[in-house]
Amino acid sequence: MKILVVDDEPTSQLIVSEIAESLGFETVCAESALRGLEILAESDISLVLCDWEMPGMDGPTMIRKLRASDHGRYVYHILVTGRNETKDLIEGLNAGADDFISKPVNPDELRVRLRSATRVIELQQSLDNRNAKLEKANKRHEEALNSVTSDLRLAADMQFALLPKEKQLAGINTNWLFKPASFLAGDIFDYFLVGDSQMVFYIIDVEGHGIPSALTSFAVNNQLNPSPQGMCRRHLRATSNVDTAVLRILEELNRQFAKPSGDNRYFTMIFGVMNLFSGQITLAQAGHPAPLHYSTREDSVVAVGNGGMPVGMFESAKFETTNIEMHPGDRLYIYSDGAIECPSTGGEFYGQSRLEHSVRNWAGIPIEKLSSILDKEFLDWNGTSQFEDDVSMVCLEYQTPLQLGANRVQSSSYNGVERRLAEQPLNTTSKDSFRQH
Amino acid sequence: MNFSTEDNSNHTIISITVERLDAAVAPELKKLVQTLVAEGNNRILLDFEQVLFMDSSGLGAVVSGLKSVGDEGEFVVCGLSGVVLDLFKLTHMDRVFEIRSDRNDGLQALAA
Repeated sequence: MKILVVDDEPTSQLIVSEIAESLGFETVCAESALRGLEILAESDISLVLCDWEMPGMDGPTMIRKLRASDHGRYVYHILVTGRNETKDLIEGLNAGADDFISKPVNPDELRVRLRSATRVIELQQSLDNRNAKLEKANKRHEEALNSVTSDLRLAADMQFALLPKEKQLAGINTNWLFKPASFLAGDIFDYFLVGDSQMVFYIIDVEGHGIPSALTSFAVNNQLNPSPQGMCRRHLRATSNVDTAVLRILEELNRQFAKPSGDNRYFTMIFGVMNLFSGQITLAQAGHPAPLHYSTREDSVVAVGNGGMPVGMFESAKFETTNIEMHPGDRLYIYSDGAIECPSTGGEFYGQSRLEHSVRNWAGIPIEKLSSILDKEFLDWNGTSQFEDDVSMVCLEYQTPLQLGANRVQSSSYNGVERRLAEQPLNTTSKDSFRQH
Repeated sequence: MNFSTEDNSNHTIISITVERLDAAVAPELKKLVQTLVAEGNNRILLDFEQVLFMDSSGLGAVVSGLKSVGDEGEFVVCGLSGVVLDLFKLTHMDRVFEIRSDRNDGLQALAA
């Protein structure tokens, strides 16, 4: 280790240097405090033995100047002095001295002082090293976190892009609310026309929330995509019995997602098909909260369905269908449990009966304004924009029965669906890509 | 501990000692049942007496417990009320699980 010896008297300088060198230190000498400061600024010396009394700048002043400047390291400063009164010690300590050694210098005392100085300097250096490492690691973690956050934002945008954009389809008006609890939701929903007389709609809520649930919801959504090869069109094409087609779709999903090990995530869903001519809806309720049917004729709200097993929970699960007669002006609400289990600031759940009441109150609100009404309703109830669980809700309004010969309307909407498909790269992703962990 | 277990000669009682059986505690329950079954305790009574809320992850863990005990074992649940019982009914789990009103009733089901 190097020591800087600062002393204006060559003899003292020599004596101190020789003792230090005999102890294994390398010495650098300065004849004045000013020169000493220059050397400290240019070198990496961390230990100084400095005389108190010197012409020009004295020892304590040198220490003050040293402490005021930043050399990126701690410099241990020992004052060499003939003074031994308390007030002198205090002045030296106040200036920033770390230790004192009395004049004339006794080799044994200097050895002890230098050993303790070395210990402090080495400790300081190891702390500096550790800090530097921590800072580096922190920076790496921060960069990793930033990258993950930005990936998640991107994934959330992609998830949002999967949601239906069109809100008018061949006599049906729609609107919806989607509030993920974290970046990504385990909820997903869609609706689209199939053939010239049917509309498929569904809402899925995968167990849990966040990334693992979102991946499963993407995979299910991908299976149900509106392409001719998708599960919906395939089964609806294969039979004219809609109940049978709906059950086959749920059974096929269940076969794909239920694993004997039980290590998979199950999901609840509402899957329905609406006949656009008759207004008849056939739906299956797989462990999902009951859809609410607002009837304009009765001005009443009915919870539809008798429950049912979730999809992907048991390989042997059986599903059931329910039918609803929709009349012009009627609305059907499908929603995730995050909506009815949304807690108020006081911890009270929103609850299904409150939702039924609200649905009746919203009857007079034009459907195109419903999205902002729903948004405000749940934000106000929740008290914050941070939701505990994903909250999603879709409203379908049966406006007018489709008339025979209304092919123009259908084909334009159909093309809209095809366009949306083309814009969604995820829908074309193989389901296998979601399963590789 | 979110669960307490009571081992008896031919069955084990698991009491859920938290009010919310949700994603935060579900993995612990899943693991607990797996461990019990691995140790040879496959006759289990799961007591919901203290549970006020169960979410989808909680239900997933309970179903996982039922699957863990297998055909050889028994898995009975008791003490369900309010929204917890509602969720069992909504998901038709009342058709899958042996549901008993309280612990005594549950123990009788295990003894039968």
